[in-house]
Amino acid sequence: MSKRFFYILKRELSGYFNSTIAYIYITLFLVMVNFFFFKDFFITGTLSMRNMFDLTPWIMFLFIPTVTMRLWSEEKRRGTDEVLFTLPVTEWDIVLGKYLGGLTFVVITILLTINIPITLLFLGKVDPGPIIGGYAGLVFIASAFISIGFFVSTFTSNQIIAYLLAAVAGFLFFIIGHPMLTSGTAGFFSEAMSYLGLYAHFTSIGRGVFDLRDFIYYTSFTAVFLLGTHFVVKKRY
Amino acid sequence: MISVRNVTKRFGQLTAVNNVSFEVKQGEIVGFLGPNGAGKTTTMRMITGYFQPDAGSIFVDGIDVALNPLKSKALLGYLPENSPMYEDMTVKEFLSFIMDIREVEQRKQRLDYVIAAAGLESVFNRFIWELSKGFHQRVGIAQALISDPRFLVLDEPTAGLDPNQILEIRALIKELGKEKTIILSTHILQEAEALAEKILIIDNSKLIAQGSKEELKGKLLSSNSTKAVLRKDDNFSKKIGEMKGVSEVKTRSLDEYTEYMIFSKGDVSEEVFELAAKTGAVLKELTAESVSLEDIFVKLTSKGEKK
Ligand SMILES: Nc1ncnc2c1ncn2[C@@H]1O[C@H](COP(=O)(O)OP(=O)(O)O)[C@@H](O)[C@H]1O
Ligand SMILES: [Mg+2]
Repeated sequence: MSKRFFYILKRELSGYFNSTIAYIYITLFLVMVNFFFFKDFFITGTLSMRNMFDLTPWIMFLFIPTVTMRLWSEEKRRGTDEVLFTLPVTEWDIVLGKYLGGLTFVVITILLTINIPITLLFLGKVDPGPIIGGYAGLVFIASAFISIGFFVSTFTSNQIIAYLLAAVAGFLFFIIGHPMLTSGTAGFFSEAMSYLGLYAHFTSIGRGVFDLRDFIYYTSFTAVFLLGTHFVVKKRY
Repeated sequence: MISVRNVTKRFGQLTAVNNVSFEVKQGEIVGFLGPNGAGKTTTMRMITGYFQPDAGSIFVDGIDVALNPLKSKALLGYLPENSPMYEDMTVKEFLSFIMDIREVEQRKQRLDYVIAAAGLESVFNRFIWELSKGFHQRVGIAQALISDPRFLVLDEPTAGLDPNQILEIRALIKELGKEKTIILSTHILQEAEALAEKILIIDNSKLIAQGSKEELKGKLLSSNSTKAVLRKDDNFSKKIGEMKGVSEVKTRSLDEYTEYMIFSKGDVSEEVFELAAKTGAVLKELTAESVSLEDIFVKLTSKGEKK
């Protein structure tokens, strides 16, 4: 890897910001997050972002595939992957540059929800700890979703299929750890599945307990799918 | 020097490039000529590191492309077939991106040079998706040139252009050829003939001939061809096949006449005339055919056989 991955990242980001449809997705994301947050907030009046951190992973679940569907499928469809692979950059430069480009874009989008904590601050005394922890948690979830979406997008040059594959893969990882599936099974198995699945890690963020276990989970999740992406991309023919 | 040694590439059952070897020497313009589907693009993709060969090796300036791809890629400028580019960027943004990655020094100078060389002044700030096919191709060439690479790999550089644009691009390539080592592919004979000092003919995944234009002509001239049209005559037919130096005779029936294509070592037209006189056959037409590159191309490639 070299600093050249930075230029790939930059190009990826400019690709998002050059595309009108990306602004539509950002707007939809922000409208949904704000709508669901304030809908409950006006009822309960609690000065906490817990319900925002509870529900945002669900919205990201639909939003992030719009980001990852173009990470590789678009390159394949347009043939621009040939440009990248014949420039003096390594496959890791390309994979990490694109992944970080996607992540930066999503992090910027997440930061645009800053109006919510600011509103709370105006209304009274809030504890910043859980808010910062919650945002950190969202970034890690985003990272996991991006890596899996990136991985599946290497298999198709069709963006719609890439979107669906990313959403389905995310859903599978959510469902395998859900109590609905694991409750009937033996202790160790159900614990393992619940650790592997996204569900338990989502809910711990909502509770404001983003701990080392979650950190390791999301980081390894991302690493596994980036390795997978690198493998597919390297073995292109 | 680009050195391709016994390179083979398969896609499943299909062998796209079969044990191909050639060299492009310093300062040469080499034309890679062959019908569609012959394996030109696949070969170029292996030189530029997009594909890996299944067998054989490729060296660019002595650097093994498989072992040190970063170094070999840095030496090459590449125009891929149809010049794919990021359509959502402007010409300026795209060229800057390539300069970033290729770590071009004296960016302003290089940019000014390629803009002028490729004639991009009027579209510099346009989005790539807005460009006509001709400008699109020129941006592709500018991109290949921007790092001032010593080697250029150009895959069908004039495909899809109108005749004027073709002449412009050819002139540019000729000019570049004065200082760079260039391999360009084409399925059009005239293009190879106009641009290249050396021609490689590839057909159906195999390299079937290579050499300068003169060498290729020489090869075929050593087997001359003579066309003779005679009134149908069995005696002549039989004897012509047995004539000294004749390697092959092809016949075609034209009503009461027969057309003979006589392939031989050396010119046999006088002997054919004498034979006709001796056998009493009525000779209508006799020509010693001169060989063009077209003949060679048609004779060697499967495309020609179908014609
Ligand atoms: N990525 C690929 N997958 C499968 N087959 C391919 C691929 N690329 C090329 N081919 C096949 O390999 C052969 C050579 O193709 P190509 O190198 O593109 O020829 P040319 O550039 O001379 O027209 C063709 O039969 C083509 O269909
Ligand atoms: Mg081709």
